[in-house]
Amino acid sequence: MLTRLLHRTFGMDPEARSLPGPQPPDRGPFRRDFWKSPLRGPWLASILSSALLPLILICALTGFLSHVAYETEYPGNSVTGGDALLGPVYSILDWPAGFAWLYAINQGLHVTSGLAAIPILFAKLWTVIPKLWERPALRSLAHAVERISLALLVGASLFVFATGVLNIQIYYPFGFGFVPAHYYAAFIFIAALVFHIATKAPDLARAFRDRGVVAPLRDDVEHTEPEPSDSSESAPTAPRPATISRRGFVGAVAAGSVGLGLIGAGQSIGGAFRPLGLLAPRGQTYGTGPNDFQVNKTAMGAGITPSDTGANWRLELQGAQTIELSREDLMNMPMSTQTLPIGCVEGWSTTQTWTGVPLRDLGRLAGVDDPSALFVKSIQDAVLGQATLNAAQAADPRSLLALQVNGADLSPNHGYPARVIVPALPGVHNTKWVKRLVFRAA
Amino acid sequence: MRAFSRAYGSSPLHLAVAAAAFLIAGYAGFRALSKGPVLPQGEWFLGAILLHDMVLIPVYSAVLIGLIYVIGGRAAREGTPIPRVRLLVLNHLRVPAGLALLALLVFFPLILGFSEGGLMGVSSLSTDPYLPRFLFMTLALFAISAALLAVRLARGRRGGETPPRADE
Repeated sequence: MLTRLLHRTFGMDPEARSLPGPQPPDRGPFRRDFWKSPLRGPWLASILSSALLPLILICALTGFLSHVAYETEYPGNSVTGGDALLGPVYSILDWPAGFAWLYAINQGLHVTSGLAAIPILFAKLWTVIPKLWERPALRSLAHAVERISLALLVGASLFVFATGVLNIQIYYPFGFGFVPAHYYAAFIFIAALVFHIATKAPDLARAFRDRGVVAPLRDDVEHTEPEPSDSSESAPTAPRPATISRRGFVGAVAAGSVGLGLIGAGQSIGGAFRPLGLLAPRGQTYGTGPNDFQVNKTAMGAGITPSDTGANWRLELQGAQTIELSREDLMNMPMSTQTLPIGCVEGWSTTQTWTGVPLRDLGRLAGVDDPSALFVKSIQDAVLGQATLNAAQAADPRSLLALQVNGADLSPNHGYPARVIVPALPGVHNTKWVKRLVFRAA
Repeated sequence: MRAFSRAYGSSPLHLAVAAAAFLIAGYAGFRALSKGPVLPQGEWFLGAILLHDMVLIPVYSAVLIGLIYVIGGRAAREGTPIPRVRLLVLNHLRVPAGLALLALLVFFPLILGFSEGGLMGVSSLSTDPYLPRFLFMTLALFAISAALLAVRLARGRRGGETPPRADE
């Protein structure tokens, strides 16, 4: 029903006026019979698309939700800042403090679904590559529009995957900032994908109707026949005999997808599952001490010196009044112990048991009982060397200015003398080496 | 309506949805480029398409077709179906090789040490373990594949005339 409607509105008019202009030569890859694989065709493209689409939707949704979690409307909270399209949505939505693992799960899904999509994307592009070389190159204006949108779709998808994969490995060979480039390329990707789905959904429906959704997976290699050459430009006109069945091909792609997914899941869940992240950036473990868990930004890398954090360190509390507290003052306050995760935007997490002073107690001490926001500044002078927490995060009784972890003082790498730890907060916003807390009155 | 369809090649809605998509893409592109720098972002966007479609696909296709000819022997050259045993060998080689190359393509910065400075700076850990882990994983993939191949060959020989079921 829907696909018939889509076909009527987005289908190509066979009688459309063709575009003037030179045709590519009838040689090499421009010839249909250049493409020999008997597996290529609309069914294979459709089954791969059906696997790819949910992964891309999860990846895109969690990606945009991460911007909600960053509370981008507060200055200094995000590298990207707001945009005219989703910025207003981000400022309406408040990221909750409720379920502590929310952000860790969000980012685990983002990175894991992205990794799992890579082999399927490659297989999909291999399946439809003959269409890049199709003749006539431009059949009509509508066809030209579709080909431009496909260039955007392919370029943006490869761009977001490449930059994302390099970013989680802390490798930046590109000469531009990762966050805005990755973020805005996702818009191009999704916009082109919506148009692609509108134009191609009828082809997918027809392929599944003609050949069944899973029926082609039952054929072994001897019974693997090519799809009819008139079903799509991707189907071969002069195929060679099959060297692998569709079941074998799809199975190998699935193995790659599941394998990369497990590597992502290992570092995302952490703990006993971390060894699964064999090749993951956070697939390694530290020692067995109380401070031996995943570090994001070492003290040395952040430029924190022992004199910054020594006996002269004071925490500056600002609110109705300004107070300075030494680490000893803080240790003498009523302490709370909470088991909370650090969930990184890069898709890994680590859950530890933290001890410190509840942030809302520090707010009361500064004379602000119900802060509308809490600005946290680190000694570290960096792009994300500060963060602003929303009202729910600042008021949650589990939100701590942590002084200890797993029963021991924080190590320099984990933010000694004091760090913030808040349920469901993006990892990097759990500011380390805290210098100042500013409680904003409602 | 009919005249539009003849001139354009599809319905007005096709053009409208495309225009909306291009508008969003154009806005996003403008925002990304105005954050700068322009040239590297453009190079990476176009470069990704060219590298994949004009380099990666031709190179791996050539290697795979070469492998079919080497292992497929006369049948491959003549375009007739390759005998079952040769096909099994072909697939039990190229699938683990493909999976290992996929892992290398995705995680090369860690495996080959390009991330050393970055990883050390954020986590105080070295990339040294990744190359041995990758080699171990590759070895394990080929070992599992070889074991499955042995089982299939044995089953095929015992089964006599029963048509072979598995083939991946």
